[in-house]
Amino acid sequence: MTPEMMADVVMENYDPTFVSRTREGDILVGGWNFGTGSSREQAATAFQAKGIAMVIAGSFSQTYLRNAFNNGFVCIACADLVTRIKEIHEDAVGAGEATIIPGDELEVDFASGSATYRGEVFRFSPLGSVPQSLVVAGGIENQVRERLNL
Amino acid sequence: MGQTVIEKIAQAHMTEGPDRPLRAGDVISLRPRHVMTHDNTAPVMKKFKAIGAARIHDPDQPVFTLDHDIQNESETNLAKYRDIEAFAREQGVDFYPAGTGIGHQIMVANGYVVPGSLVVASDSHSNMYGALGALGTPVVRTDAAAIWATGEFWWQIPRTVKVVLEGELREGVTGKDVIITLCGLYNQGEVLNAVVEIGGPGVAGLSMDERFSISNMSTEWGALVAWFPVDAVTVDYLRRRRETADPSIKERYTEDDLAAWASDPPCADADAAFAAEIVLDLGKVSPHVSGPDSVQVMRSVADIEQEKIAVQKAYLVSCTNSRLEDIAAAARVIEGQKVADGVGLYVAAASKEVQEDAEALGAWEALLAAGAQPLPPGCGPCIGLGTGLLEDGEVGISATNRNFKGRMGSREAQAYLASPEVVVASAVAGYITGPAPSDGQRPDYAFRETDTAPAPDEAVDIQPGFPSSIRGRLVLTPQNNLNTDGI
Repeated sequence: MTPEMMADVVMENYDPTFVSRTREGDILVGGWNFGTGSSREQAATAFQAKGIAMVIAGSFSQTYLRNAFNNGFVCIACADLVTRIKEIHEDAVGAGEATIIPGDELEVDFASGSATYRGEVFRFSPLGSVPQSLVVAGGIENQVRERLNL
Repeated sequence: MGQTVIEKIAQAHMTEGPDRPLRAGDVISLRPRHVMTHDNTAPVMKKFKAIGAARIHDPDQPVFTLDHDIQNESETNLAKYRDIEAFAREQGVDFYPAGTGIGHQIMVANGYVVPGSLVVASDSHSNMYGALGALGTPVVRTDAAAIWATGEFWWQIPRTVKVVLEGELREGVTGKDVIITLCGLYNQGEVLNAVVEIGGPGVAGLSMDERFSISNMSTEWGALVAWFPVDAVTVDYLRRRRETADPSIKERYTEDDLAAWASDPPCADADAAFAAEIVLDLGKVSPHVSGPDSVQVMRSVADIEQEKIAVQKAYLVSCTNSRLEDIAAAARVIEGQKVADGVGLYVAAASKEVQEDAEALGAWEALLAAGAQPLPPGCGPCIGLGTGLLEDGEVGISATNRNFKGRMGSREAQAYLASPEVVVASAVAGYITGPAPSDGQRPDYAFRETDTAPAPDEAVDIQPGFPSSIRGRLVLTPQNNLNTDGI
């Protein structure tokens, strides 16, 4: 599957409107055990193809997290942020809406390991040199090639 | 603040990471002692070559063990096995051909896993290595290729849940019953994606085989690591293995190592920070079965045997429960009896060596005389490969670790998991039952989250090419356990 094809069908089993409503630069915020059962790399690369900037979740399935960073895609666990955002948007969450896009923005500061939404600041484990260089290299295969001078 | 044992083991194997003691959440680069691949060595070879690598960075690190599809004698499979062997020879990597045994068993029984070591595999049951006080955890195939090429892989340190075992197992209760109970009692994600650090006075009474079963099936419990303390039982096992295994084991650890593990075993700092604690009274565990179809559901044997649920297939196989203790216990249960009409009992030892030991004891013959069908030492029906799989409408009872629909054959079948004793008693009776009456007790639910102080604020350097910040529109997909694999 080409990136263009992946971008066209990303998340369609979860919510068929996801593709048309999301756009490049969006930050996806998910619940707990995000990505469970998604063992293929496409689960992460499809988001990259769509231009999703990163995913913040309450927690991640380990395999999903590995596939994400192995493809240079940033995933951050920040339980407090997710709890608060679900609280702020509890009406939509309670109504069972699959994809909630209120229109406002999140800011993630990597130097301090903090995410800010509507003035509230939440901390996460800052990404050190290891995950940063994976992302900069564009994934593990590129990074290995660089290390081996291939 | 002190470190948990896994934080300390990770620290000892770190090649790149923060310049301060490691803690949960840190993403670091590590050099494992070993990385095991099995039949999947073939796709990892493809990845390795696709990256453009030619030579394995450290040929002592990888271990290749063929175990999954060993009953498959098609030319395609045999050619695949030959390619893997040729690659091992070319690169100087330890290779164990089909029929030697299940990869995880080979790793623990031949000195590849030792206390305080970091050992990984491109297979989810690498949790089993924790029984020897190692950090054993799974990696994916791409990671295995990266380790072959560079010697390293990256890992995020999980939170640690302490599991305190108290009391001791009663007669007729096994290590398998302990892990089945943990999966069924703590089934709300309490240890999901966490390290389980086991401890407490109850550990001393558990045999090595019981610890292997518990660590092995911790994968299904949701944990990434299940670490046991290193004590006299561990050191005694490692000393005996050094005397009885293939002599190449002597290169992997020494008498001095054994003395060091006895006098100074790895352990957590007294002030280590745990995310939560579970307390389990071993004395209240009773024989239970997992399932059907999920390990989050369990029923006591005392309860389920009253329904006389008929079984058609019974399996004494896998790295979970087909070591010598398991086969010997099964033989004692089945002695002088026959497998019921209409039931197929399949037996495979965890390794050729285990089978030979079982044969020497007479245990293997006792099972065959009762009508058990022997399979070669490998994964077989546990992974749905080879003969004896579940057919439509059948009910199976198995000493393995996974019972989800389709795992052991037909999706239109039901699978229960149990101890070897219960598996064999059920094969003889023709319905799910135990070898002796039991009281169906289970331990109290005792889970307590710790109020840990938040990690201190920390600033990190931003690498060239990495954004210092990202701003973007919020897209909230609130569902938990979201399977994004809709492609």
